[in-house]
Amino acid sequence: MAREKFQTLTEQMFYILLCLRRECCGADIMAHVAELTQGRVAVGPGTLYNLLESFVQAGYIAETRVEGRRRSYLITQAGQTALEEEYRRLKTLAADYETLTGGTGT
Amino acid sequence: MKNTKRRLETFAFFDHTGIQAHLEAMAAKGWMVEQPGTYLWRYRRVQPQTLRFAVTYFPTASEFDPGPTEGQQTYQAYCQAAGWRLAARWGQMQIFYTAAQDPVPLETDARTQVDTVHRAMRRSSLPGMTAVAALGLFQACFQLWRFWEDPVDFLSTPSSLYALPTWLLFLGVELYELLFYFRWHRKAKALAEATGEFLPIRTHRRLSLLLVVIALLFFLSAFLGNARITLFAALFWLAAFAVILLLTGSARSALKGMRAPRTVTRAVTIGMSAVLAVAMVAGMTVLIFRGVRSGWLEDRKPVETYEYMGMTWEVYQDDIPLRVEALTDTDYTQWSTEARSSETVLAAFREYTQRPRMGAREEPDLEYDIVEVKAPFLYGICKNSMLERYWFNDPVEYRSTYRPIDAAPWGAAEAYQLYRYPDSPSERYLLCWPGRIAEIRFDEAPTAAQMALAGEILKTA
Repeated sequence: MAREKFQTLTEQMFYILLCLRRECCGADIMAHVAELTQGRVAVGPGTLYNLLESFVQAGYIAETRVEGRRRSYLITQAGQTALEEEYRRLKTLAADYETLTGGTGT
Repeated sequence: MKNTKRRLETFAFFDHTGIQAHLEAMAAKGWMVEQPGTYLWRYRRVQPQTLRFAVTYFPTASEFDPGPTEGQQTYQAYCQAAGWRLAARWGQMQIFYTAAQDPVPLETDARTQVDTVHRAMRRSSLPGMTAVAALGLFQACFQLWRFWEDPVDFLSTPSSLYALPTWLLFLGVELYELLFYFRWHRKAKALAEATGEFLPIRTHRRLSLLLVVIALLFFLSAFLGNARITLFAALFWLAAFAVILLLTGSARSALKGMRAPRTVTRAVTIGMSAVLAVAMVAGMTVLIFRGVRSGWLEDRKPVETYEYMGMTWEVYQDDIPLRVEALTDTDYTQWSTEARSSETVLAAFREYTQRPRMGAREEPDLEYDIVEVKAPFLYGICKNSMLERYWFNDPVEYRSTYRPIDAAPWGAAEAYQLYRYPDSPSERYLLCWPGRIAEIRFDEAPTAAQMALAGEILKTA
């Protein structure tokens, strides 16, 4: 998946990148995301594999260690930038929402 | 009790929703998928159980891989960590299952899932489907060109007439699947972008199967009504195709067992297919030549042979409706009469000849053809084709042409006589009745009585 496809991040993309701010083994990311979101967001194994591959290709994460089937990854500067851009986008959305509704939702 | 069984499955490669539902139903009946395939899927007996299946695609895998790639093994490890077990792999397709009641789905991001399916399709099925559609289009155009060139032969020859709908149906099935897929991809991509939901794929499996069955029925019809030589060629090709598939499949399995690299296995499989195809064509050519020479591919056997001028000549005694003896007084008895016919639901073409033996040249020859057009809307096309039958060999300015003559002496609706370039009438006549056209050639100008008798017999024969 080319980098332009990450212009906006899905929840799964966002949380995988967020988890990889610390070096983490691929298989452990599923558990970390579930824990971080208290089960609200689940990352399926197929999605996890495909996104890790795509992030590596896009230069958003880098493989740091391989121990048998266990591969560990860490976010890169490009990945960090993408994560921050998404955070700012979400903040803008939230700010616009609050401006229009006063944060009451009505 | 058999512990394995094979089933004919007609799923489109990308129909993972349909495949999942089918595999869940099979597991409930006690059958676990063991090896998917293009058409034949193998299952093994298990305890009937409620399982959830997930079909996923691994775009960079290939059916020529000696085993699961590093990436596939990592993928499998992630699945195992989430409680999914591998059931089977086939090229880019991977099938996982779990007994968990509420498992985390394999795919949880619709955008990624649509992208993965599309990358897998671009590398595997789409080129193949496009190639089959192109072949179907070429064959359909080729058959239509044959119809244009010689409609009578095309409409009355089963292998030609029924080949057209066969190829049109194959083309239709492929185009339907291609359009279905691209339509799904467009919608699924939009839905994933807009809502983050995945649009399930569900093809009309029974419709595809029905179209394939109809196509196969046309294919069989195309050969059952043909001459023995055509039937032999068709059966030979079917057998050859099966042998090529079997041998290349065995070679591929052996190479994969030897852990040969993907490129080697692919090169050997493709090379072997090409060599075997060439060998089969050569083998069929040799067998047909021998079959024709020995006579076992002939539909009709000669009743005897004789030697004349150092050559062997065959004598036939087929029944023919109009004979020289009925038209002229002759006490000659050693005629050779031949009747050939080909027929479809739309038209029949029958050729008849009556010839004396070589050396008895003073006796007349008789040749006539009858075209029966069963579909009225095709009559005009067939008549024009018969009228223009002698055009093709000659340049425009030297063409022989049929000119209208009085049809009454023949008892026909229309009659024509062939004129050779520049202006010499020949003794070849074309007679027309509703639904029927006949062409007859005499050695000498026919008398009124001969015309009446020939017309009467050719009208109903």
